[in-house]
Amino acid sequence: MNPVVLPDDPAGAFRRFHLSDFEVSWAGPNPVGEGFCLGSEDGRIRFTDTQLTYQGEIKGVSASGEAVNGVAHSQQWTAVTTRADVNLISRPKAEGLHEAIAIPVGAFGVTVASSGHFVVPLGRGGIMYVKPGSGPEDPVPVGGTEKAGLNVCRVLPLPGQDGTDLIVCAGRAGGVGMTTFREGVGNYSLSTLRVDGLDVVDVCLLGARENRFAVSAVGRDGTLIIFRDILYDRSPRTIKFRSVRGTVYRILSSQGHVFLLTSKGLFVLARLAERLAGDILLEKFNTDVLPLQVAAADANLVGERWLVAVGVGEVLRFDLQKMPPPDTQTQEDRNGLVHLTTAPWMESRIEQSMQHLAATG
Amino acid sequence: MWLTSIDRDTEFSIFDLADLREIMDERGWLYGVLANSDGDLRDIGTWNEQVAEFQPGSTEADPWHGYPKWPVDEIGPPNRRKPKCRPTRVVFDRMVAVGMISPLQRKRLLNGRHA
Repeated sequence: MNPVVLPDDPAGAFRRFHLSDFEVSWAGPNPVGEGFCLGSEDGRIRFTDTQLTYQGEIKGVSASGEAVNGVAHSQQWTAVTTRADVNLISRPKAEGLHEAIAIPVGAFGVTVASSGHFVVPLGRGGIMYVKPGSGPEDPVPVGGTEKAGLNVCRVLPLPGQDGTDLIVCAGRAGGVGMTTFREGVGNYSLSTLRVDGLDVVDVCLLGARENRFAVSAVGRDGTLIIFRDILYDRSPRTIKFRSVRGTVYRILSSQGHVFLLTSKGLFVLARLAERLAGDILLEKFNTDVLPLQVAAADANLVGERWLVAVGVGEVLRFDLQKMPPPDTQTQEDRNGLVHLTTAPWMESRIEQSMQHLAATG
Repeated sequence: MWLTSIDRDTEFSIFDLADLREIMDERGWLYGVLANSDGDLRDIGTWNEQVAEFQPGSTEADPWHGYPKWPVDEIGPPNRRKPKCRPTRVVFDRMVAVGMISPLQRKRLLNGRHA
C-alpha cells in the first residue's frame, strides 16, 4: 500500500514548521491558552500559538540540560521530564522568577491524573506521583513495578472511584499494568496482564462517558490490545492491521479515530475508536486505514483538533477536522484486519508499599 | 543483562563496529547498537535496552567489558544511585554521523525511548 503524502497547506490538514533555533524533542498542548508547547533537545520549553508563532520561552527547565521528553501542567505548576530528571516549575512569581525543584531520576514522560498529581513513568523503576507545589523536602511517592516485570514507558491516568486515580500503563514485555493512587495511601496493588512475545509500548483511552474505561494498548509490532472495560476485561481482544508498518512509537485516539505513529509513518485507523468503545462486534465492520508519509519521533494530541508530531528540525501539525475522508482507500486496506490468536493471557497481582524519593531545590 | 538471543559472536560484532566507527564518549568508552534488516533497532538487553556500552579493563591487558545500557538514569537507593546511567549526547551524534542510526532514531534514543 502506498503512503499518502499530504500537501503542506496553510489552509489544509497538514503543515510543516521548520524551527532553525529550537531543535524540538517534544510537542504538546500550551498550558496558558490555545496553542502548543514545545520541548527542546537542550532542555528548554517554548510556548506558541497554533501557527507556531513564538509566545514565550523558559530556558534551563531541565536541571541536566537533557532533551525534554514530556511536559504537563497542573494547577500553577509545569512538570518537565527528561531521561535524567523530573523538574517542577512554578508559574512566574511577581518578580518574574520561577520556583523550581528537580528530582534526579530519568523519566519517559509525564501526564496529569484527575487528582492533579503528575504521573511519571520511570521504566523499570515504576511510577512516580508528584504533587504540584511539592517542595525540596517533601517525599515523592513511587510505586515500584519491577517485581511485576513491568518496564513502564507510558501511563494513562483515569478517574477512579471515590477520588482515587486509576493508572493504566504500558509495561513492555511485562504487558499492561493497572494500579491505583490516592494521596497518603502507602499500600497499593498492581495487576498485570501479559502474553509472551508481546512488547507493549503505549496505551490510550478509546471511549468516553458510559465507555470511559474502554482502553487500547499497542504492541511495538502494531498489535492492538482492546479492553472494552479495563476494570474487568481480563481477556482483551488483539487485532492487527496488515497495512500498518514499522515499529510503533505512539497510539492516540481522537474524534473516533485511532492514530498509530510508527517508524514508517502515521496510520489513521478511521472510526476504529468509536466502534471498539461501543458494542459493535469487530467482525461486523471494515476499517479504512490511511497511511500518511510522516517521519516523526513522537506525537501528541492538543485538544480535539490538533495532532502535533516531532520531526527532525521541524514540527508537523495535523488538523484532525480537515483530514482526508477515509473512504478513499482500497478494498485491500479495508480487509486488512487480522484477528490474532494469542496464547492465554497471564494475569498477576502483587501488593506493595510506596517508596519515597527526595527532590532537590 | 544481555538477552539470551544475543550470542557472543553478536555481542562481539556490536563491539567491533563500535570500535571501527569510533563510537565513544569523553572517557573513551565504546557504544553500539544492533539493527534489524528494516533498520529498526533490536533489543539487546532483558529490560529492552538497545544500546551496548563497552568499557576497557582496568589495565591494558584486561579485556573490554560490555553490557546493555539503559538509555535513562535509573532509580535506586540514594547511596547507590548512579549519577549518569545514560550514554551522552555525543555518542548518539557520532552514531548519526557514521550512519549507524538515523536522525529520527537519535531523537528517540535522546528521549530515552525505543527506536
